[in-house]
Amino acid sequence: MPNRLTQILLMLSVLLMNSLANAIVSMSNGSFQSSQAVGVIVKLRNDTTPLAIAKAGGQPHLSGQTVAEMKVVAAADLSYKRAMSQGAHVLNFAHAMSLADAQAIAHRLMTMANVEYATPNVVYTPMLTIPNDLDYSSQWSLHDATAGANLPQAWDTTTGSNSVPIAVIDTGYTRHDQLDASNFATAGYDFISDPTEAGDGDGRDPDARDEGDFCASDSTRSSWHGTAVMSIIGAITNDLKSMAGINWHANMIPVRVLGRCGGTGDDLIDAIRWAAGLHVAGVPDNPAPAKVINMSLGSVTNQACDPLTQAAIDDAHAAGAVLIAAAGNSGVPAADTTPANCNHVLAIAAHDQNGDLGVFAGGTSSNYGSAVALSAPGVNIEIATCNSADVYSCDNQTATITNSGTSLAAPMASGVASLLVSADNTVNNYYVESILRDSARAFPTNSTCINQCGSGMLDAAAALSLLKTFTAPATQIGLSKDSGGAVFVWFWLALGFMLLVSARWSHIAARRKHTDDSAHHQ
Amino acid sequence: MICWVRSSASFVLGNNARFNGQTQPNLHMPIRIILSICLCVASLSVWGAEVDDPWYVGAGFGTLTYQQNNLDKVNLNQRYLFVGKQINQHLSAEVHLGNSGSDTIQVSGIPVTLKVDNFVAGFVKGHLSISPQDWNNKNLRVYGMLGGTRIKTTSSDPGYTQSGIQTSISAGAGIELQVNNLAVQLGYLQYVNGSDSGHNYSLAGLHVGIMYLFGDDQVRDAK
Repeated sequence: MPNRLTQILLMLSVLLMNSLANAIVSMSNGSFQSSQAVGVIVKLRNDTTPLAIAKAGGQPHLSGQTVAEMKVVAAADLSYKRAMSQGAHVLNFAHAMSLADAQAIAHRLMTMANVEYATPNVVYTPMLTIPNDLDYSSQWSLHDATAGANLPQAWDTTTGSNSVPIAVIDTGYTRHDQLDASNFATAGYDFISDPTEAGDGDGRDPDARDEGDFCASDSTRSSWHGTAVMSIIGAITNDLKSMAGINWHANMIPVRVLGRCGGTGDDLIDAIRWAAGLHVAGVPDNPAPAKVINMSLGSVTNQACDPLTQAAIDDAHAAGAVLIAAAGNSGVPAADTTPANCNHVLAIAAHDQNGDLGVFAGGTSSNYGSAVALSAPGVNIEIATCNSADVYSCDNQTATITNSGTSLAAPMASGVASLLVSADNTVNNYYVESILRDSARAFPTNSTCINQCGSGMLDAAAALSLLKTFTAPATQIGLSKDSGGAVFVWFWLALGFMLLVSARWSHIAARRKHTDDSAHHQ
Repeated sequence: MICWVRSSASFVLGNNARFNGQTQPNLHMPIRIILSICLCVASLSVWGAEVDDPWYVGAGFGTLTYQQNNLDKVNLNQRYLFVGKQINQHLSAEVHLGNSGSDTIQVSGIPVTLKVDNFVAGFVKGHLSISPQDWNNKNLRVYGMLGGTRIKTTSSDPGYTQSGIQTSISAGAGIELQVNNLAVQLGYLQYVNGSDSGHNYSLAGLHVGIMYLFGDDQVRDAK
């Protein structure tokens, strides 16, 4: 019997938790959002109370006539909700509205003679946002105090936005329960021009679905890499399912360049340009130029970024995109890996839960060195994947696994970059890159990443905090105000005076000399 | 005459002293310094002016380095026009009008471009001939300059642009070689040295100039 009782209590607890979670989801995603108001709180002047307030059952409340007058003055559909403490009254709007609109209504109400004050009834949201995804607690990359990316505190500021297009240049997408249609508001594109490599029977086409990237020559299986990367950026979050993503409302554009046995530079170059909204011959333009472009791919070229790739990246950057690339998993300097070594690319190294340089299966480690901008969690990272043995397609999956690599560190940074743009859509790509670098957390003492993994460890909360206080570097150099005008005027007056005196005396001296000469001649 | 100038000077400086009190709180030490310099020079010029001293015009170019604590140097190219009047054998008054090209440095990894939109500078220039006695039609002289510069700069990064104007005491020195009515000069000038929004900065550089002196037999007069 006690066991039975325990089971019932447990079930009730789960139901209660579920209800609470759904309520929070509703507040976060639905009709109630921060910076909104559901009505106004009004307090009348004491001296008008007998006229404005009627008694009903001993509880003071606003009279119907007063509410009607308020509706006219406010020019809004108000309904009386209840009397509250401090002698104030709550009136609801028909629908939640923006704080600015609510404040305008409150201001209009305050023009009424019998209203002492009126203020919007603001929607509040919980602080230190913790998603209810079942695996969240094991996703150290999001919240670990030592080396996690400090997302819960960041989510208090923003959980992301669907209006920030994030291009994921990778293997394409699969249908997975952690990625839904809202994540793919903008259709991607399949940039693989070689039909054999594409595996879908044609070359470039508008279908960016992942057709597998297995390589028959070495018996590798398909990695479903693009799905994994996208799940880190924007897995459906707060859904009481497996994993949480970074941007809860991510708008991801799958751009397919990796197919059978990998991809090639020509397709990557075109994909970068297209993702940023630039025109690529033979391909319809991307209607939603990406603010963030994630490239969890690379090639150890042992040479500098080639001019064509660099030109594409320069153009994409000039178009406003933040370009983020995996530093690479070969345990070599990232300066030898393209596109990590290209200018205007943030190369992301991987660190583990101790803040050390990431070491992966097989004994290789994250690339490192001066080309690395910063480091992000990249060891034992939960990702969406495919359980099917089918190497050609993988759809309608629910599986997640943990995996490691800089491919998983890069989307951590891309996700945080998208949060920055979500929080302030006017921030430009230069500022985002600077903020990501400058807000990075110091590596723990004795970390093997020190001096090897860029400016520090990705810190989403610190980045959003820095965004609020960020001052444009142009303000740090040169002159910023007009000053010294009085000095200037007096200086010129003095100089003019001096020249006048000089000219006058020269004239007098010349005349005297002329007079003397004349006298001498006489 | 000298007394008259001195009385004028004391009158202006007397006013200046009062400006430091209630009536003109914005006037600072630079004004007094500049006024003192100019009026002293005026006195000297009046005292020394015995000939119809020539005007001269010229143009120059050179480097202009913007230095600010904790930032990389910004290296600009300056170009300027100038006009001057020789006050006597040892003194001239000179006005510079110029601007610069731009240079870009990285601040927090973000490219920031700085340029001098324009500057107007006025100088009192003292010079001393060092040419050998047997030089004919040539004159080599060293000079020092003291004055003030009004300068406007613009700095911009990919998301923000700001401009500002400041006035500062300027000083410099150089050497010039005159042959008949033409002269070339090589000098160093610090146009601005000041602070803005909490950072100290200076703007200075080497310049090369060429000038034409109006009038006859200027070499003899200059000597």
